Amino acid sequence: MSSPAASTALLRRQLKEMQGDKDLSNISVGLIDDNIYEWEVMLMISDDCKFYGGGFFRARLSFPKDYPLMPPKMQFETPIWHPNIYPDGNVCISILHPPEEDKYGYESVQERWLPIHTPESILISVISMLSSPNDESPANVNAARQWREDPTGFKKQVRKCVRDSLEMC
Amino acid sequence: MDSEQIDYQSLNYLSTVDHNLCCPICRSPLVDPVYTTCLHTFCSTCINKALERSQTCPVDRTPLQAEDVSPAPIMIANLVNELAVLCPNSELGCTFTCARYLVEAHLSHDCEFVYMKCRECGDKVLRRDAGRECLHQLEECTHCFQHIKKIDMEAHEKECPGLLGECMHCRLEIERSELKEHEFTCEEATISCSSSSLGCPWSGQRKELSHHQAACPFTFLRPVLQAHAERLTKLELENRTLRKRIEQLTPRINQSNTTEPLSFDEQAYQFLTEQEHMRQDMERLSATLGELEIKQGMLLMNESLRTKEELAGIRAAINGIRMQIHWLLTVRVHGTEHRHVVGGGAGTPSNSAGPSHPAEHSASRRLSDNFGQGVKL
Ligand SMILES: [Zn+2]
Ligand SMILES: [Zn+2]
Ligand SMILES: [Zn+2]
Ligand SMILES: [Zn+2]
Ligand SMILES: [Zn+2]
Ligand SMILES: [Zn+2]
Ligand SMILES: [Zn+2]
Repeated sequence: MSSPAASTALLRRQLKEMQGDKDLSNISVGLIDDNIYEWEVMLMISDDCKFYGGGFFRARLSFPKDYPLMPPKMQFETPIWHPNIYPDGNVCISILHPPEEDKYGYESVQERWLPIHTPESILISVISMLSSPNDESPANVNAARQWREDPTGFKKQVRKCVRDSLEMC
Repeated sequence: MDSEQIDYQSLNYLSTVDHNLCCPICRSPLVDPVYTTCLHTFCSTCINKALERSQTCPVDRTPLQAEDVSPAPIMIANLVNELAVLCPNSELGCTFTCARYLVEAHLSHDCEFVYMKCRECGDKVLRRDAGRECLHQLEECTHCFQHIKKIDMEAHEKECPGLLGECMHCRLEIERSELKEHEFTCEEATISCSSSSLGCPWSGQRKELSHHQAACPFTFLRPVLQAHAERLTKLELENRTLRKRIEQLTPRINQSNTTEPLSFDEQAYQFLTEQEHMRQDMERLSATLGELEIKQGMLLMNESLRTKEELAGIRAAINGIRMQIHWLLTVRVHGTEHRHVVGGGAGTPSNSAGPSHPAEHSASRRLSDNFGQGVKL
């Protein structure tokens, strides 16, 4: 029943909108291999972001065929140290969790995916997650523990990945 | 295939559409608009698909069933149906535009760029060509002798390998398929020196190249120049990354200049000088305090000396007064005793004055007592 044409048309439009939006100067998006379901994202974190300011992070958004009914996945390609990002770069944030799955029992349904979310709203949520991690659902347990118990060490580790992120681009 | 449903969501609208007329799910103008009990409007297919996934409103998560969805007011449907759109086949060449609800009729009756079944063979053909004879018969290409369908002939002629082409340099007529290859070897093609990447400005016909290269200084210096060029690109790359980083860092430095203008050393120095100032102030203050203490002590002494003198004067005066009072009292007591003796014999007339004397006596006694205390103080 779900027609891929609908998601293709929507993603095309959203890609064009984001590429034309002057207010999104710190986010750049493009396609990977000309595939409308695979987006390459470059996040330039502004300096006022706690810890991660000044970083250049590359990530990939993978949209399902039944987007926007189901959320895309987001994976950082630049190594990044954060309590809510798995060591392989996958982002664990509630708005990217489909509403019907119950495996994330700790979070309320209120924060999960809605079909009215857009790539833009996702990226903005992810950027705000960087500066305020969610301690309840650590995807990277070591990073979460360090964030809680050793803020100085955590900051040092993050600054290192910010520096490395600049070198990689 | 012409009965295929129109993909309304990828239609191109002639003007930008008010976002209030757009579906929050597909973000394009509503198609077949419906609204929910929580008063949100969607395309009917969009909300139905969403409800298959999750039985809540995609905007506010109100629990929602299929029966909570009903057609939107006819006015909204009219507003979106009358939006002007391009024909879906505009990319194939159709320039037709119309109100959206007329698109279906255009496609099924008029559009020249809709594929239809060929009357003769049943293969697909554009409506434009459907009236003519069958275009699916094979025809022999007059140049390459391949058998090509008539309908594809136009496209084939552009790339027919049998068609002769003329080399633009030496005017040689050769088969088109070989033309490209010939360009690489044509003696008269204009090429540039093989050291042009190093800066040799020479360009000329290929047959003259060997002559030029025998004298070309760039070719002579090629190994050196190439090494330089390599280093240059490497440095450029490094320069670019460094510049990027500087760009990244500059705003941060500027910011930190405004918010915390001093480095740690400078701050420490400022603190130390401030502390020194405060210490000096403190010393000055304690010196003044000492002086004041001495001055105050002197004043106190002067004052108390003066008070003592005065006190002595007052004491002397009081003594004088006490002597006088004493004298006066003795005189009075003697006087009353004398009168008592007289009154006791005379009877009542002095009765009224009698009791008043002891009172007077005690009052003056008390007065003198008070004086005595005051002096002692
Ligand atoms: Zn819709
Ligand atoms: Zn609703
Ligand atoms: Zn048309
Ligand atoms: Zn035919
Ligand atoms: Zn041919
Ligand atoms: Zn030639
Ligand atoms: Zn040369």
